[in-house]
Order: sequence, then structure tokens, then C-alpha cells
Amino acid sequence: VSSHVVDAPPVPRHRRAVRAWLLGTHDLPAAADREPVDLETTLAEDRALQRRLWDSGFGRHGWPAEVGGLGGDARLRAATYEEVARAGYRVPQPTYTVETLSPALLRYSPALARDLLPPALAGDEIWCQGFSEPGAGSDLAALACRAAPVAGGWRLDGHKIWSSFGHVSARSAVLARTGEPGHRGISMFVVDLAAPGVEVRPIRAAGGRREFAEIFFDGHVTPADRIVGVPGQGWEIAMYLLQWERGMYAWQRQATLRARLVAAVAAGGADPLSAARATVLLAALRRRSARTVGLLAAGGNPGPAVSVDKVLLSSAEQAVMDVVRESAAGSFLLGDAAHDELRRGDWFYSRAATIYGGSVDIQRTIVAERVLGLPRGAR
Amino acid sequence: MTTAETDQLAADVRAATRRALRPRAWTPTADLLALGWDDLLAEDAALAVTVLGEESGRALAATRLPELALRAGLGLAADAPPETTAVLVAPGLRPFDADVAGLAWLDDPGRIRTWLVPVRRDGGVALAGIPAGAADTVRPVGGMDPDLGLYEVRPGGQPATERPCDWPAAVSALHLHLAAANIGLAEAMVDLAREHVAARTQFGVPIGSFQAVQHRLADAHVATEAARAVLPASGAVPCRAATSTAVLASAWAVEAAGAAATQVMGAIACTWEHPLHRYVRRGLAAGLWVDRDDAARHALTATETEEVL
Repeated sequence: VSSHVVDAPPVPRHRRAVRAWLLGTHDLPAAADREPVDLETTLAEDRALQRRLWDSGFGRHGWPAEVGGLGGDARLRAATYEEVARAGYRVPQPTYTVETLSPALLRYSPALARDLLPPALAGDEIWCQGFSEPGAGSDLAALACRAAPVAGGWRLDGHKIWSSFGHVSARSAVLARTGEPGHRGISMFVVDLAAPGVEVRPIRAAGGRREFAEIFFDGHVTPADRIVGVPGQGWEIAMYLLQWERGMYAWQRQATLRARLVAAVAAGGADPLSAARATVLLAALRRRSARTVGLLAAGGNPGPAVSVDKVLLSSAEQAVMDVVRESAAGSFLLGDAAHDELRRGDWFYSRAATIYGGSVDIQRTIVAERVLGLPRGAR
Repeated sequence: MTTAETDQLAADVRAATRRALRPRAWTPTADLLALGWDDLLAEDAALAVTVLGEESGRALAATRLPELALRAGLGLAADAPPETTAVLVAPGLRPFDADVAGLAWLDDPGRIRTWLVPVRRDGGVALAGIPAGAADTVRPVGGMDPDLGLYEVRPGGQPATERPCDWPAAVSALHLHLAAANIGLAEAMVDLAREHVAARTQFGVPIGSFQAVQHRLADAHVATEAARAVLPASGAVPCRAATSTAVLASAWAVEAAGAAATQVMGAIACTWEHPLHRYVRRGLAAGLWVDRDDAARHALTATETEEVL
């Protein structure tokens, strides 16, 4: 990712500036301890905070000038998110997908990035991933959604599922089959979800919120220039994007989870050993995901070792939410207040952490075969 | 030092340490001191403690390194050299009250002239010097890990000297050593298991190709990498929040690796002949020096404000 700005601040100076701004600004939305019960209001507040960060300039650090940024690399963005969490605000959830999709778009389709990304970076739009299908979860390369070339673009037919924030998203990065079976026949498109031939249905998660959605494509024609990279490059792009998910998403989550854990421990009632285990997992995740973000920012490839981070993240999510659950045992089980409902929702969502974004079972196989060098098994 | 210089120093020290250590046996303290231990401590204490610690764990070498680390934490002066003095410790590294009967890592008990004993004093801990003598009771310790080189010592004399000491710093340094040693142990166990599951065939294929086997070892590796990520591997020996985090992470890694290796290696892992049980024993014995509740409390005070980006 190139930068037109040569004098991006070093990370520590940027951090201090963000911190001072957060401390001195008293009308920011998305306070962590006042989260609305419903996801839609939460996301609206989160977007408002994203907008404030963008307008202040602090949210622009780490993004290249061609998408409205002030330059510098991804470590500046990572520092911003951590300072936001430390100051008692929520890391805006729409940035989770922004952080995974944007680097891929900037790398593989700079023109699309320039035209489409700014509203997503500024918090005006939410984007989602359109990867999984009912028949293609862990075996993502088995996806069946088709994109056929037609006059004016590509005609999409198929069924996507488990798209986080899908029902409130403006656009989706969709993987669809444009060629042969297997991973070589896959392409990626940026699809407008409000367009004809697209239907989005939210799915209510076990915790109560409408966390994800199904997306149905029935003859939707997406413009030719909405392909990311070239036909058949979708798998490569998805693999690149996943590394950002292992790095930046893990980093964002450790910042959020640490704030949760600190609050739960301060409130009392947490078992010290369980809390210490969660602390240790978060400390390890913080260092490892920082290294991954740094590597990616420098254009490097962290390789299969990022699967270790994904297993760590899943364990940390569940360990922290278990501490939260145990430390608030009575109200967690019996309370009907908004924060009780939220705690239960968060706990349930942490159970999904071992499944979404590449199940930990797949990650363990990757670690075993590609990191430890064990013999390759049957699939 | 730059990162590259630190990496080079670590590589050099690692190579020298590997030559000096005696695998699965006692390594004389003189051989470790001859690596330039004192200079190394002055140059980069955490690097010295962790590189030697990790290699000693990997080689299953029994050494006096836990005590040397502890001494580094205490900053013992030249008047208390390891050749003629030994620090007595209690399980959990709790300082002694009235009754002093402790444990020491010793090359040769006969050469010790003074026992250095952490004793509880108002508001802190002092290091008492008790002259060694004929009235001492000194006997080798067997137990879970009879190869550790540990002795049980009950001094027969009375304290002749007493100096103030920073016992938390000593605990911190020993925990840093243990954290590194545990990482080495955990990696060694996973390596033993890797070799085994790649070679052992059942149902016509190497058992390492079965996910049930792969996932156990993957989890052990993840736990070990987590421990490595939180190991303060260079600079001054940090405070107890950081070393408690490191030692707890490493203890969980050793447990995970020991359990996974034992299971995937099957019956051979349960024999006396196979060395795995000696690694398991070493890992369990390391628990002797960690009061987990105390370490947990310290780990919870870690602020995580270090710039890692």
C-alpha cells in the first residue's frame, strides 16, 4: 500500500495524539459501558464514532491518500483502535470488515478502492463479506454461487450465508464461481446489496441479536468494473484478505477483550486463575497480532503461522467471556437488564469465535501439517 | 543494542550454550559460568536467563541455572560467589520464617561455606548468611525429578550475617528462567511426538496424518507459541507482572505438550525406557517454584502498555 504522505507520525507519537484527543473530547458516541441491546442501534453509534475519528483526522492515519487517508501504514490504524478501546469506547464494529476488505481492494483493484472505499472508511457505509454458503463453509473452495459474464457485467445467482452485519450493509465482497470447479475458478466482486436481484435476510444469533445474514442473488447483474483483480483471482485475494483478518481483526479484538476483562476483574467476583489465563492469552495475542500487522504493513507474508493466532484469538474470546460470565453469575443467569442481555449475547457470540473466519479445527490442521510438518491427512 | 545485534548475541549465546550443556545429565556450574555468565548478565540479563533457560529445558539438562537466575535477580555481590555459597529456597519461593529447612541446587555440597537464606523480616525479606558446618543436614532429594541436582538442606548453625534483599526481583528472575526452560521442555516434547507420529503407521498410514493426533499436537504448539510470545527475552529482568504472565503461560504449555505427547505416542510413552517421562517429570517439578495463585494475582496487574506495534 503506497502512501503519498511522507511525514506520517511514528506509532508512539500518533498514540499520544489520539489519546489526548479522546481524553479531551467529551461528546463521543459508542461508550463501551452504554452499549444498546439491539445491534442496529449499536452499529449506528459505532459508525458515528468512526465518522468522528475520520473527521478528526486520527481515523485517516494509516490509510493512503487515494482513499482519503493521511498516509502511514496499518500500525497507525491499529494504535488508534487500541487507544479507542482503552479510552472506554467500542472499537467500531464496521471497521472489522473494513480492515479485512480494504487492504485487499487497495492491492488488487486500486481504482475500485478509490471510488468505493471512502464512505466505508469514514463510517458512512457498512460492508460485509459474502463468502460462506450453505454448502461451502470450511471447504470454501466448494462454493457454488455463479457469476456469468453478460452484457454490462456479471450475472450473479446463488446463496450466501453467515455474512456478519449483512442486513445493514451497503455492499458485500462476494466470492463467486466464474470458471472451473475448485479454488482456481473463483472471482471476487463488490456487490451493491440494495440493487435489483439481491435479497438480504438477517439471521438471529443464539445470543438474540441479528448478527449475520443470508444473501440471495437471483439474476443480479453487477457491473463489469466491480470485479476485484481479474477473473479467477478470487481465491488468492481471499487468502490475502484472511491474513489481515488474522492480524488486524485479532488485534482489534484483543483491545476490546482486554477492556472487558479489566472491567470484569475490577468489578470483583472473577476467579483469579481463570482471569489470569485470559490475561495471558490476551497478552500473547497482542504481541503476535502486532507482529502480523507489522509484517503485512511492510508487505510481508506471515504464512501459515497466523493459524496459531486464530486459535489463540478463539481461546481468548471464550476465556474472557467466561470470566465475564462467572464474575456476574447472578445477573448473568437471572437479570433482565440491558447489560445482562448484552453479556449473554457476547458470551454466546464468543462460542462462535471457534467457528467464524475459518474454524479452529481447520486452523489446527494447518498448524499440524504446515507448521509442525506432520504427514498430510485425508480430507 | 539494535534488534539485529540482540538477535546475533542470542544466536551466539545459544550456540555456545548448546555446546556447554550435557543433555539429560547434570551440567557443572563451572561450565555455565565459563560461558561468560556475569558479563552476559551485565549486557542483557533477560537474554542470558532466557537463552540458557530454554536450551537447558530443551536438552533436559539439570543445572544450577535456576539459582544463578535467582542470584541475578538479587544482584549478589562478589563476596557471595556461587562456588562457595548457595541460596536455600522453599517451595513456592516463600521466604523462611523461624524454621530453616530448604532446598538448594548443588554441584558439590562439600564446597559450600555459607548458606544464603531469604528470611521474612518486618516489611520485607532479608538474606541471612548461615555458615555451613558439620552440624548441617544435607541430603539429595529424589521425588518426582530425581535428576534435578536438588538437595534438602537444614543448616545446623545460626545466621552470622544479614543483608537487605529484593526478594520479588529474585522470584521474578527465577520465574523468567523457568518460563524459558518450560518452553524448551514443551518444544522438546512436541518434537519427540512429531518424530514418533511421522514414523509410526497404523491402518496403513502414519498416525500423524489423523486429525485426532494432529490437533492435539497443534494445541500444544499453540500453547508453546503463546508462552514464547509473552516471554521477556531481552533487556532487564522485568517486574513480577510480566514474569508471572510468562511463567504461567509456560506452565500451561508444558502441561499441554506433556499430555499431548504422552497420548499420541501411545504405550511407548508410558515406559521407563522411553525418555518422555523424564521431560514430564521436569515440567511437573518446575511447578515447585510457582505459587500459581500468587502468580495469577501478579499477572492480573500487568498493564499491557508496552508498544508492540
